[in-house]
Amino acid sequence: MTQEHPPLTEGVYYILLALFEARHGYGIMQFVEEMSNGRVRLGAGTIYGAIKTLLERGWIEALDDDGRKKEYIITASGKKVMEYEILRLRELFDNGIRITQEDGTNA
Amino acid sequence: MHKYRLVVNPYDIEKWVNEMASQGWYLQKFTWIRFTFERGEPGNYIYRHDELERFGASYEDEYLEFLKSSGIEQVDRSGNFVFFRKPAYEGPFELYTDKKTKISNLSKKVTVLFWVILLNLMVGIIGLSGDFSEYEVDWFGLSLNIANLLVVLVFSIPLFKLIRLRKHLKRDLDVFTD
Repeated sequence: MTQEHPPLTEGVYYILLALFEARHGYGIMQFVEEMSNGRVRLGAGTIYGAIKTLLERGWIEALDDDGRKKEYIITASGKKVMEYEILRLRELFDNGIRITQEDGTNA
Repeated sequence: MHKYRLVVNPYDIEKWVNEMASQGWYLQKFTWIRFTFERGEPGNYIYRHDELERFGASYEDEYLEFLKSSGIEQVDRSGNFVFFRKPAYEGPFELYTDKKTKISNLSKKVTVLFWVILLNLMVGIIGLSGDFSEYEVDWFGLSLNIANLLVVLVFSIPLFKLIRLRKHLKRDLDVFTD
């Protein structure tokens, strides 16, 4: 895809959303599960991999280590990415609703 | 109790370890091919394996610490191959929930198996043709080269299984993202 802001995966979307507040890995896992009413359960390995990638991209940053558990928080550029993603999701949502409702056969 | 298994397809080993757990035999230790189990109530734990990056020591401690803080217990480790477990009552337990990581993990395993097979195939075939070209049959070389070809046979099935699994996941990725 040659979009300027390609779609995020569901996991990355929820991880970024979780990090609008500082959280450690396990906190992210719990937040995402609660937020999605148990639908999205991210594996620890998947979250760890995503955190590494997001740090490299500068969309999140690690807070000063206070000891054992590292906490992360979203950065300004991460928030920008979320803004675009929400606009993209709205476009998908609006178009989906409009066309399925006009259609009316699946009502 | 000790059991011996050759780890060619780690997913098969993981499945077997979980089957043992459902019968009340819990993996305690393993070193390459030797697996030690301990008796307990059946079905208390779910086991998952992971292969750590060979040259990623700096991330390694952090990753293991991360898993520990997520309530995941490290059972044992042999080389870069690690087994973890989590109590079954806490619900489903997977280390990797996204297809892309699953595919890249599979690709690493496929590559290793592929080279092991290719190398053994070449050494085996070149060696066999040499074993008979002398006046006298070289029995040591012959048995070694037959062993090479046996490795090819034994490793080919898991290779095709892993490739099939990867193909299936890739096809899913055309439609679904996660």
